[in-house]
Amino acid sequence: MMTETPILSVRDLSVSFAQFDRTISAVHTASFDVARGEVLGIVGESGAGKSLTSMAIVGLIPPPGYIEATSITLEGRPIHNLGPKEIRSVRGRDIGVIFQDPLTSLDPLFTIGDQLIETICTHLPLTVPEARSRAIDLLIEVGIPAPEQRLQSYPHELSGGMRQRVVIALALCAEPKLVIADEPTTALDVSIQAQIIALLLRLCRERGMSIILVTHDMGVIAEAADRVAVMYAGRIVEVGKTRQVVKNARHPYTRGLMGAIPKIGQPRTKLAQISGSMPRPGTEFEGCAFAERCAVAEAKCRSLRPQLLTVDDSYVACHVAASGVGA
Amino acid sequence: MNGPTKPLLQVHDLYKAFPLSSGISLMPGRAKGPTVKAVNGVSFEVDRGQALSLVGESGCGKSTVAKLVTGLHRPDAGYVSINGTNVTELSGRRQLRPFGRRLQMVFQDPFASLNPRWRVGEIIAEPIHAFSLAASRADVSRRVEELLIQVGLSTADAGKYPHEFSGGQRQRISIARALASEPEFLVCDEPTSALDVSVQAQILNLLKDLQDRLGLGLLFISHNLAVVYHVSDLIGIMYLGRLVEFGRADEIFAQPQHPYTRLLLDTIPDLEMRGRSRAPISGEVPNPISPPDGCVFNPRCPLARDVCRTELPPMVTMPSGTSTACHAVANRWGTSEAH
Repeated sequence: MMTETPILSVRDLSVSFAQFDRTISAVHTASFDVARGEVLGIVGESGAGKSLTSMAIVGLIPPPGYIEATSITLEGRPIHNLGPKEIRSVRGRDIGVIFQDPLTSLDPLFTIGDQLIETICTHLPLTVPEARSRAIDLLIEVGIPAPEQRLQSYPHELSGGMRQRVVIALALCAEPKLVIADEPTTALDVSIQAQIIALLLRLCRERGMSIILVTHDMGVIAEAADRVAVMYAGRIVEVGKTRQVVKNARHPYTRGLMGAIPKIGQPRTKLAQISGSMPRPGTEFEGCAFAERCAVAEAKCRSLRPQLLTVDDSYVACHVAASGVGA
Repeated sequence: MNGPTKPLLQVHDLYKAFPLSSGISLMPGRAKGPTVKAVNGVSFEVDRGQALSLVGESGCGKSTVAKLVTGLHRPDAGYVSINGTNVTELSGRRQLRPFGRRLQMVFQDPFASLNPRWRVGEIIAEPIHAFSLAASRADVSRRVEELLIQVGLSTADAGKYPHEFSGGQRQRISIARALASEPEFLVCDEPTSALDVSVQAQILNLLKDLQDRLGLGLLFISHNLAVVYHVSDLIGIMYLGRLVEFGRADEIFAQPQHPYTRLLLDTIPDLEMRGRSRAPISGEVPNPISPPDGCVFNPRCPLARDVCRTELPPMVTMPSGTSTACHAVANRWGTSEAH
């Protein structure tokens, strides 16, 4: 997809959950690349499989879930077939992870300093005093005032925004090339949300780091991502430059999603709405999973699954969009 | 503010503080410990067919106001009146019952606010039974079917349990239940924040539609300014238990006066992607246990001066009709600060 070797390349990633009598597949053959220094947004509604896709990359799918993939490569090195021990050293060292809830991703019984120093010593060959000064540098970098005193604080002594900054510092401990941020701002107030997004973008720029930003919020995507992948019912339905997808989406689902967001300054008429709701994971479709709710669906959409095809400069999985451009 | 006729809902100078210490000292009559002043002198009026939204970040007291209005909390001072009757003074079932009927609530979490062991038909019929609004069983089930259709569900759904529905459908059930007692006023506390955007649009359209059709008064609590823009006629911006700005929605969105309102509007992501860079508000909401002196917003305010750190700014109504509690804004309009 790109001329330069991407930092991360995912091909045909599927995540399934085995049950007694059947297998529920939650992510189907997702393929995408993340370029160096790029922010790739993965957006979708709850249950679309966006979090599973990102967690599968770092091997965080709990049993009975399992992943299948043609390949997942980090700078050309395959990481999809690593054992639990090896993937553990990739996670944290090469790929940093930021979770949604900053309170549950920190251990309440240890100080911020303990947690940062432990993480640094696990991944880098440093002594404790060296790790300590590195921890202070990291806290300064993520904008925490009085970092030396903060090392002694417990997570409950910090506010939500400050905790999320600590979680970001933890993710940066080993200078990862890629950070996966799963809904990093969802648990935060709007004013703090803007601060955290600004921080992530600054770090990305300064360190030449890539970010996979998983969110349900198109606003966050529009603000932060270079490219965006839209997921629906476990499949990527559209990938393109953020500007293209936000302003001129090709897939009817993305268009509906954009229309459903209330926007300030527009006439306050009825919001465009997509009728119905997303099918539950495990529902199998012969055709397009969105056909039931789609306003422009044709007969073909119900019988033949659309593939992710190039339409202009983005990729869209839609029969109607593909035929509309004559591709 | 008082018109010739009584407003549907009038909230006057409400105060509510919650004690902080252990459970035992929550007993009435115990010595006073530290408190969180959740609501600090909030007043507003809402008329029939009007929608008022209260907006603010978490901890600003907006949900507490909703609970005070619905009588789930009792105010420490001030009163809530419905059609001119002071509801706060009433006590006992007999006195409160007629007002409970006229004012209903839709809660945030559609998974927690419906009894999982009751069928949807029973959930919706409960207010009809409670307020004796139907003469016979057949009338009750007719009314339930009517309500289900009104909120966009099918009559067959009455026999199902809540777990068989998605979040958006459950919120429709909550709305049907709230409408069952034919209220004049609906309080919605973050009714869409647990929902996905495509479903949120369905619920917002439904609420707006019902409000127009039934002439409901609406108190809408939200942290999402874009959602608020879509539903409200009036807006109150809250910060640390106080209203800092109040006025017509179109006025406030066109010309926000209070620096907090302006910063809050600035945090809305730019979906038009005009390349506007937004300046995040620095700092965080201060601890409500020990709020700052003077204007509560002063530690984060770019316009803060000495007077802001010592004196609480009064609400000043500007020519546009918007009321703002800010020394700097009052100064700009040439109004005296000592109001």
